[in-house]
Amino acid sequence: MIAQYILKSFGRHKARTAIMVMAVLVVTAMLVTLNNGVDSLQQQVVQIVEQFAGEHDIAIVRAETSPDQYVSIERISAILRAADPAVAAIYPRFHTTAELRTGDRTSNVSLVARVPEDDLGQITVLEGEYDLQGDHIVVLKVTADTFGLHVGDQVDVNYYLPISRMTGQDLPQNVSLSHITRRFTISGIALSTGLGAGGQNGVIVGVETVQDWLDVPGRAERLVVVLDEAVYGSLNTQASVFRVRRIAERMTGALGEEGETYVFRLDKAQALDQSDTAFAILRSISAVYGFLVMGVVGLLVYSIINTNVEERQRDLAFLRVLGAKRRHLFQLVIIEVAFIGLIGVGLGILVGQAFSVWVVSPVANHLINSMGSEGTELGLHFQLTITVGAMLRAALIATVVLGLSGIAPARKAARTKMRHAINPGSADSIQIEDLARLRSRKFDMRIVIAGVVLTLMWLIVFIGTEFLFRQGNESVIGAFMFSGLALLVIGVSLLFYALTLPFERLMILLGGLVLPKLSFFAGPNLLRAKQRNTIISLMIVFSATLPTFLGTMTVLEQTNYDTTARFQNGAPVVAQVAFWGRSFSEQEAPSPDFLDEFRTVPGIDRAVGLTTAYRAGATNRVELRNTPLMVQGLTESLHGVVYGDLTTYATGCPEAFETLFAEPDTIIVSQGYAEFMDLDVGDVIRVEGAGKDHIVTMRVVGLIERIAGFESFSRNENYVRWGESVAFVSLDTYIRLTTDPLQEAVCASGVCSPVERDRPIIAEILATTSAGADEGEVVSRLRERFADQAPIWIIATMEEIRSTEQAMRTIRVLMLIMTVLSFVTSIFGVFAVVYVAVYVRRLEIGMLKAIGMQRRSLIGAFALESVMMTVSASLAGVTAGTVLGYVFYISNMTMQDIPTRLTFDWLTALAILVMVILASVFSASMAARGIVRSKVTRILREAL
Amino acid sequence: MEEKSAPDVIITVDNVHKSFLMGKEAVQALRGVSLDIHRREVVCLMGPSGSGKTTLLNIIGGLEEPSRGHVIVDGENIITLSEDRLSELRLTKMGFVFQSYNLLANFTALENVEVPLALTGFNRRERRRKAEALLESVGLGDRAKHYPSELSGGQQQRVAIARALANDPPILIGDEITGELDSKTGFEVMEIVAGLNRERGTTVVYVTHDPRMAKFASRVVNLRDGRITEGNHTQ
Repeated sequence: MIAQYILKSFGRHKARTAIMVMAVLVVTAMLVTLNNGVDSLQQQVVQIVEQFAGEHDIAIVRAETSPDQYVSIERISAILRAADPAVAAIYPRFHTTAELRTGDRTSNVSLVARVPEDDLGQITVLEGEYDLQGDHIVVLKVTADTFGLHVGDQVDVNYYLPISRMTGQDLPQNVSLSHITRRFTISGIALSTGLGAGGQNGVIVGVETVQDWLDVPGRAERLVVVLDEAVYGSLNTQASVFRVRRIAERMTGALGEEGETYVFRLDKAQALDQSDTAFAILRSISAVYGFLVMGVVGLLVYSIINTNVEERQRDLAFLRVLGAKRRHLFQLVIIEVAFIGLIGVGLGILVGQAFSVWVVSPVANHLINSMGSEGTELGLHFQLTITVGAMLRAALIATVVLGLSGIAPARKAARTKMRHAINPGSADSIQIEDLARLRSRKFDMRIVIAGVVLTLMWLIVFIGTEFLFRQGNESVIGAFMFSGLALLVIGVSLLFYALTLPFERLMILLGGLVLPKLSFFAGPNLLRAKQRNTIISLMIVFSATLPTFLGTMTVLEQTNYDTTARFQNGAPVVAQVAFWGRSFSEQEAPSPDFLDEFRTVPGIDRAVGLTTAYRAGATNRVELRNTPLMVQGLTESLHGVVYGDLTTYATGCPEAFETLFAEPDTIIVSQGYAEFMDLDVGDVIRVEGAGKDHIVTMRVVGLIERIAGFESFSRNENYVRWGESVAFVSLDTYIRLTTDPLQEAVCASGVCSPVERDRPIIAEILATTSAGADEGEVVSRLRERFADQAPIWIIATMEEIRSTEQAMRTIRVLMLIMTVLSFVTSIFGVFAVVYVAVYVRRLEIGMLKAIGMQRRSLIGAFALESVMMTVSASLAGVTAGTVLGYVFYISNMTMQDIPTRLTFDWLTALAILVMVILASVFSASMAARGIVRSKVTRILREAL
Repeated sequence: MEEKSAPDVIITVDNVHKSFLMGKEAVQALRGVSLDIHRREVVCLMGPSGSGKTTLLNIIGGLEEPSRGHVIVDGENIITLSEDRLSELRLTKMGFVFQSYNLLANFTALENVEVPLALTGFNRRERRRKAEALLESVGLGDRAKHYPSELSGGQQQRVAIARALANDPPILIGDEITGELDSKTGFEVMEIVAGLNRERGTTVVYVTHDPRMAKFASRVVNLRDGRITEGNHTQ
């Protein structure tokens, strides 16, 4: 009976029902596609990780402290197999770094030895064949290219024998490693992925060959274990990862005491675990989008169902007269919403999956192919994963939102008075509070208060997230981040919702100037039709805020990236001494003389050498405050080398740079340090040098507020408190400060001799290029010239800016796609609300038509009203998103003391405005057209 | 297109037929009605339910087309007019007053009266001045800023009358003007209508089922089964 009533109701309002179903369908499809995309991307990341970490699930190797460095293949495999039924296969392997020699060239390469049945990973043979029998070897592409090797060539390989270390002790230094050499003939050249042996620089040999070579029959360097695929069958990545861990634990248990001599490596599970954490954020963002766009659909459904209830109040009242209880009427509406949800979500899931498979996947692969990345060479492609999780997440969001949107109309239906059946007029008699609703729409304080509360809640959520980060539960962190972002966007949208009114007034004013006749009709309806306008305005404000916020952040990043890059690098060309993980003193760092060689490169104008920062305790004369300084030595003045527009000198500078080199024991400190220590130019500070009681009294000759290339050279006193405030001294002062006088007496007169200066001390070089020189060419020359000097790393600021700009452009396009997607639902919303608004105002249309208003004027008035309303709301949303973006970005940049250029995201804003205008005009015209074309008498008869 | 009619005749209804399709059955609402209405006349159309009086009024007002016959309003045969021209005719030559007032809910009384003036293209100041004067003339000068929901039925109908007269139309068409009003208010409203006829010379054609309201007419036309049975002459 209920179903019949609902179906009849759907039949009576076909257009409205279709709009609701379509809106739910489109948004569900969009969410399923988005979720599939995120899940697939995660799978892709796992795949890429697998290619490096290996396709196996567990690797068992000997512990460094184990006296025996090899694994007995048969015995241990049997134990591991018996430990857990999920073990699908076990293969013996040798993985090591070996030395490859051909002619007079030698290089380290990775060596992997595998058995023929080991089918893990992917081998693409480019030349020759994959033959590991006897002394045959397969060489990977990069190695073959580097050595110029071909099939049939012979190579010598040195296998360094592993040595154990004593428990609790390091391996002895400078121990010479034993190695055994064997000559191989190249059978093939190939590309390999998924073996877990790094990149394409390596060789592959047979396990039996290595056993024979090292004389370790029946043993291997490691065993790799493959688990049943069902282990990863869970939707919960954490659960899968923990399952792998439990299996490994069982294996350790099965090995008994011997287990202590083995190490279990779970690289794949680890990668999955880490990617899950990273993707929690991405999933949070997609969930925020999901809730927002579905929220818009929820408002739409609420609006339409509410109108249906209002129109059917007489029917509902009769049902009550006939004995229906209030809960029956409530159920009636809820079931109606459930029907719409069921159809919309069901079809949406199907459409979403189809769209993912037939559109997203081919397009993504096409993009990968067109980029010609290395991935395609290796046979990589975007493998779209259709996950149950993607469907469930979309369905869950839809169910929650639709459920919430149906409650208010259902309660309204349940409250229907029986008098509606007898005398609708008296039941609808207007109360005093209703009259207020018809008054001009005023600033709604409740909405703003809700916005403030939600915005504050966001702060609480983020504080909570900070706390949770300490606890480390990724799922909860993800949920909190999602809530935070959602609350922030909704809160700020509600705060800025108040702006829709002034924007509407502005639109009416402008409309009055351009289209006075139509504006006369649109204006009062726009300002006074409170409830419906609020819903549509809120929908659009929500939809516009998030894309504008993200777009503004991107465009600010794009506009300021050159400033950020220039500020961070400091100069057009930067040469850094790379440490390769070892301490600076161990390196062959250049001496100051290197700068002369550096300057000979054509196109280099000036070059200043900088030492590493020496952390020295520093006090004022009476030791009131003791705050460390990071002292850096300079070979010459930085003035004119660092970017001048990003540098703010304070007292004494830039002349102080000259004093620094003319007078020993002088120092330039930051404005922040000077303020913290209450110093001024001419004051002295006591700086602790290397060694015991080594104090150098230095005179402050200049203060700098901000200098490009030195972030912690700032007014920000936090750097001072953290002991990170940089100070400049001359190279000679630096050498004296950092040399223990008891160990070595240097620069006694305060000035160092050329011999004393000749030490590996330069950590970085900042340089400028000559006027008219092409920065790109200069950098190429530098790289070519110093290519064989491994520790020198050349950075070109312009090059960085260009490559980042390209990436930023790509991000902006993605933002635009997200904007379009989120607005697709708003368009449905606009259409639905305008349609309903026009429908309920058909009496007005009839009357206006009767008194002589022409069709096109009527349609024009409705379209204008709709455009004014949606454009005003969009402008409010764009303002909200822009302000939010500015607040985030500026606060971030201010903390780093980097100057910021403000800009506006015209692209997103214009895209939003164009979409809402088109949607408004289209929906108003479509909705009004049908009614306007009817005869006046028919319109009036039906409306009454 | 100008049509010939007697110099003081403002509306000519010539052998008008109108049939509707009710389900599968055709219902003859008007069966060859002919009627002349003179300038400054107040004509009341009466008859039992289903007699065709409202259909005749709608055809005179250009809201419906006759199945057959001609209707000439102020020299123009409205059957031949385009949709736009007909709208213009209604806007400039006719004023409509409906039973249920049909005021725009989001517009104040003053703005409701301004509606036809806005459609005609009056500027804001002229519109306001004229609308205020009209509201004064119907006794609602102090209710100009009120919304329809804040006015009584009689007041709403008076606003509707002021709106109908906004463009100084020579013809006022009323459909059950007093249908939703109590007797006292109904008489007050009809007094206003009669006064307008006297003072401005507006021709009034109205439908009522209340014989007491018919006394305001200079001629009563009775209809039965789609035909005029009485009153097809000037009193």
